[in-house]
This record gives sequence, structure tokens and C-alpha cells, in this order.
Amino acid sequence: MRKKIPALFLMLCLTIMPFAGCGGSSTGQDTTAPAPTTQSQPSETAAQEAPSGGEEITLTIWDWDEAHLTHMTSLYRETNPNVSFETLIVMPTDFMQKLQSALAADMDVPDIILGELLYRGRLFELGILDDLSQTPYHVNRDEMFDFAVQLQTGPNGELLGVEQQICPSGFAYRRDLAREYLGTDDPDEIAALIPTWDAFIEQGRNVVQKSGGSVHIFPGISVMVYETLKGQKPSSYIEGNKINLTERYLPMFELAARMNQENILGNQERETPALNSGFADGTFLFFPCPPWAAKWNIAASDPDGSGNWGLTKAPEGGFTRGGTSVSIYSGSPNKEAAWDYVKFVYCDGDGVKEAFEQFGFMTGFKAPYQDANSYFFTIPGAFDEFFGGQNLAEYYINEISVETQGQVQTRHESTIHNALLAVVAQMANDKSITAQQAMELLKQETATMIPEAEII
Amino acid sequence: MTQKRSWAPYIGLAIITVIMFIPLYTVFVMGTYYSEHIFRGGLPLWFSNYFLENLKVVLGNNFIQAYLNSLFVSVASVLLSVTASALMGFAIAKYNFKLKNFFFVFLMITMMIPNQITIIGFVREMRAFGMLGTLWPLVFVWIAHPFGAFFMTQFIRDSVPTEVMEAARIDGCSEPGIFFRIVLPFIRPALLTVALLVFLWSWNSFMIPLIVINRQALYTIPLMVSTLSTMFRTDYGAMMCALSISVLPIILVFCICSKNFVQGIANGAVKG
Repeated sequence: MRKKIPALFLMLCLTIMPFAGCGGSSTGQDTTAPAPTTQSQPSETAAQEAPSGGEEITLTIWDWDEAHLTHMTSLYRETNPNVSFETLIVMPTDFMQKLQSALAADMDVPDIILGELLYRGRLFELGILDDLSQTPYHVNRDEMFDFAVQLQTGPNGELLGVEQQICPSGFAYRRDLAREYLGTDDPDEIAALIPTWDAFIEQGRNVVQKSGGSVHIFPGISVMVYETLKGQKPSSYIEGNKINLTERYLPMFELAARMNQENILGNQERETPALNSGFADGTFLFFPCPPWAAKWNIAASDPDGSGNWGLTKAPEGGFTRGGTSVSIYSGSPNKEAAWDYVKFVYCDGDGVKEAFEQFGFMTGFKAPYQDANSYFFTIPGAFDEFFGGQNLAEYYINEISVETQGQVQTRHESTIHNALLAVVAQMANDKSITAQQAMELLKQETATMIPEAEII
Repeated sequence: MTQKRSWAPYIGLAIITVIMFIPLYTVFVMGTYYSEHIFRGGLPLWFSNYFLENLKVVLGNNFIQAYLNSLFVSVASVLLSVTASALMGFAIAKYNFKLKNFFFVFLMITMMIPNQITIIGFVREMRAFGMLGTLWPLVFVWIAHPFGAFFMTQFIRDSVPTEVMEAARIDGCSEPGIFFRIVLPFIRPALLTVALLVFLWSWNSFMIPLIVINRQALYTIPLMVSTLSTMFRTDYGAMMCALSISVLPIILVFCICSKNFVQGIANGAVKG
């Protein structure tokens, strides 16, 4: 009998073994089991659940902006003490893997789900988010900016989220460099100098010439293509598996290849330390700037640059860059409470004003901006002083948002973003790549990633 | 007649040592810089004066708690994994029982299954056991450690003479007694090797904690380090500072176990 003990132990361990991973890997790849794909129906029961009637409710939220999350949940609890929060800091790069794993393992899924543009198309096609235009939410699309509606629209036309903060973009610029190379630091005068991309290229040549090549008009090709041009002229180029890449991206590549070959762009590519240090070093003049970038890109990378930045319009109109959707999980047992919090912070509650004052967040709903005396225009925003006292909210709303359109996000759209990144990486390494060559590369990358697609 | 000593191998080894040490040294140096200053004019070679600021950022992100969590997970994983692996290896190497070969083949098959495939089943299992919301899933994943069991099987098969066990039995030693008093001293290098590897892997593990842990207070060091950056700005200075501190236990453990570690690897690999 004694001899059998180790053998029995062995059998027990081997029984457990198939369920155990080795745990040594940290690839971060999205390789977990797929989540349920059934499209959810708006719940009729949510309205009947008690949101704040004294019943203790715990809302789960995963976010990457800890300061905002902590502040806003604390503020909400002041008026809703029965609602507590379980918050977790999860980076956008890890968000989908964690979410899909939670769905597949049937463990704690957040009541409120954030969708960064990086993965929003895939998130929207999981079928786990409630349509906010339906009962019990009744969000009216007409009350939102056009680009916000487009960016929050799901594959079947549902409204799957609201904007965490709007993302229409202009160009942030360094005032000292603008005075030196453009002769002015006034936003309107600078906008008048670059009304078209042709004029922008011309100014780019001047900047390189005057600086002897030490300063460029824009950081690099990936910032230009992926962070700027991609978000400027959206179209409905994806219909099911039919993808018209040529119509959507060839004009963009023609422009980008010209800039590349004219050598007007720097070598500071997106998400690199060189780009981060470039803000303070003054090696580039313009940077694509939605409201959130004032905090996360400009002020974070150039902490000593307060007063030395300005905001102007991009050539040929506004564009969208990044942005985050805020959605309600269709399986949440606390939908009404979750929606109450979302309304409070992101739509029309007291939290909207607080988020603007403290963090510079601007709601995607139009109502607060329709009054000329709105606090958005009369109270200095969190980063107005950093931008030389410029009223950023007024500029974003009245100069940029009115002419900005958004790209509807789908699963294929997310995949094409990845393909696009692969192409711009090659364009960064080889400036001789032509628009046609870039187009072919994009088609090849897309075909590899979406084998079932019919690509034009 | 005196043999002339050649310095060439030592010079070669010194050069290789410096080359191998530079990346680690760079981590320590970068941890003393303000993030945006790190990449100005190439990688820095000497320390800067921003270490305390980086340390403040790191400590402000619940680093101590994450450190203790990682320490608990790694130490508990090592203890349980080494014990379980040694017992499994002992059973397969030295006992005959029904389906023994099947279990050995099954053991090897489980080594070949990528952990991404099994992770969902594991999470469900932990949920059924009511273990979610604790650090135990990060420990239990190492108990059923196929590589450890396989390594121990090979080592015990080759390094523990059956005659010594038989002699112990004749002298009246119990089977657990044989394991603890006879076998364990023979396999000390293998125990330390598996211990070091499990410590290293569990200390650096990212994917399983990412999926299993849903409370900030339970974050381990790799998860905590990932939150030092934002979507839009990577704080390399603070990250390197955190990594510098977090790598110290691994260096310490390796220094203590290095002799046995090398011996264990050599014995496990060469003997057939």
C-alpha cells in the first residue's frame, strides 16, 4: 500500500495537469478562446433593476486612466453612496485579451466596457454591448456630433457607445518654432498658411531649408499616415467581405509618398522614445492633436513647455485621432446603475463639467456647446494655459468639430489598421516607396490577415 | 618544467562577460533618468540624478504590495512545484504500476500543449474551486508542472541507484522515508534547478496574472510595471527603475543556486 502513495499522487497531479498553463509566456497575443458572438438584444429588464434606490450595487470598470477613474467614481459616490466600484487598471494593449478571456471563462466582466480605437472594431463585433439607442437607454443620435455617432456605430447600425471624450483633431504647434519658421504663432494665420496639403508640403520644404534639416514640419511618416491622414476623409469602403482599399487609401498614400520623397518629415515615428523626446527638443513643428493629446502627448512629454504650444486647423479640415467608446455590457446585472454613471460622467450629468475642468475631457453630446456662455467656453480648460491661453474647447468645437467626420469601426477596419501599420513601417524605412507600391503592400497585408476578403 | 599559462581564454571570457552584462547594466542606468532624456544621443552609459523621482513614481503605484504579491506567488510556487515534481518523477522513475507508460507519455504530451490553449479551462477550474480573487491560481498553475515532473523523472532515473533504495527497504525504511531520506539528497541539484526555473518563470509571468487577477491589490510586478505607462506615453525611466528593483531577488537566487543549477542542467541533459 505504501508503494502506491506516490503513484496515486502522480495520478492526481496528472489529472489536474491538462487544465494548467505553463505561465512562462508573456507574448500578449490575442490567442484566447473566442467570446460569444451572438448579438445582444437591448434588455427590457434593465429599467426595472434598482439603480440607486438604496440597494447596494457594485459596478466593475476597467480603465487605463487611473486619475480620471478614481476622481469620477469618488465624485459619483458623493451623490450615490449605495453604488461602489471595483476598478482595475488595464492597458488598452491588454484590454481585449483580458476581456475575451473573462467572457470565455464566464468570470467577472466589467459592467462598463471601454473601447479604444485600437480594438474597437473587434469589440463592437463581439455582440456583447447594448444598443444605447434602444430601451432603456434611449440615446438620441441627433444629440451627438456626427463623427461621434459614426465612431460609435456597430456593424448592424446599432449605437454601441458614447464618446469618453471627443477626438476631432487639429495640429498642435510649438509657438517658438512657428514664429521662427512661419513668421507667426497666431492659430488663424497659421491655418491660412496651410489651407491645403500642397501648401503644407511647401511650408515643410521651407522649414527644412531654414533649419538646415534640424527641424521638420511633422515628426514622421507613421504619425502622418496613421495618426492624421487615416482619420481625415472616411468613407464606407467595407461592405461585408468586399473591401475597396484603393478608393479609401490610394489618395492618402499619394500624399504620404510625396511627403516622404520630398523629405519634409522627420524620423520620429509613433510610439517611440524619439517622438516623446521630440516634443521638448523642438525638432518638429506640428503634431496631430485631439483634446486628449493635450494631456497625454503634449503636456506629458514637454512638462516645461507650458505656454509654448498652440492649436490650429489641419489642412483640408478636421480629422479624428484615437478616442474611446464607453459601452454597457449586455450581460451586466447592473445595467441601469451602469448607465446612470455613464450619463453622469460622459453625457449630461454634473460629472461632465467636472471632467472638463479637471481633465480637459469634452463630451460627445452637442447640447452643452450650443450656449455661447457654456462653461466649456467661459471656464478655462485644464490645458488652455499650457496652450498659451488659447480657448481650446471653443476652437475644437467651432473650428474643427463642425467639419469632422468619423470612420465607422468594424472588425475588418481594426484588421486593416494593423495592415496599415505594417505598410507605414516599411515606408519609414524606405522613403522611395511609391503610392502604388504602398497600395500593393497594403492589399497584400490585408489579404494575409483577412483571407476571405475580396480586395479592390 | 613549468607550463606557460595562456591568458587568451580569460580575456575572451571577460569580453563575453562584459557583453552579457551590458544589457542588465543599462537597465540600472536607465532607471536613473527622466524618461524623455534616456534616448537623447544614444543610450546613456552613466547614472543620472533622476532615480529618486522614478522611485517615487514606482512606489506611488503600489510597488511594495506588488512586490510582496510576487514574492508570495514565487516562493509558494517553488515549494509546491518542486515537491509535486519530485514526487511525480520518483513515482515514474522508480515504481512499476498500471498505466505507468501511459502517464509518462501523457506527461510529455502536456508539455507540448501551448498554455494559451489551456488557460480558459484553468480559469474555469479555479472559479469552480472559488479561488478567483486570490493569488492561489498563480501558485496552483505551477503544481501541475509537466516540465518539472519530466525533468525529475529523468534525473531520478539516472542519478538514484535502485540498489541503495533496496538496501534501505531491507533495513526497514518506509517508502516516504526512502523518498525523503535517500532520494532527496541524491537529487539536490535537480531540485534547485527546478526551483530556480519555477521562481524565474512565476516571477516574470504576465499572461496568467493578467487574465486571472481582477483586483489591483493582487497585481504582481509584471502587471504593476505595465500600468506605469499609459496608452500614449511610456515612462521608461520608472519602468526600468521598477525592473531594476524587481530583478534583484532573481539575481540573488541565481547566485545562491548557480553551482547546483549548472550541475542539474548538465546531469539532466547529458545522462541518458
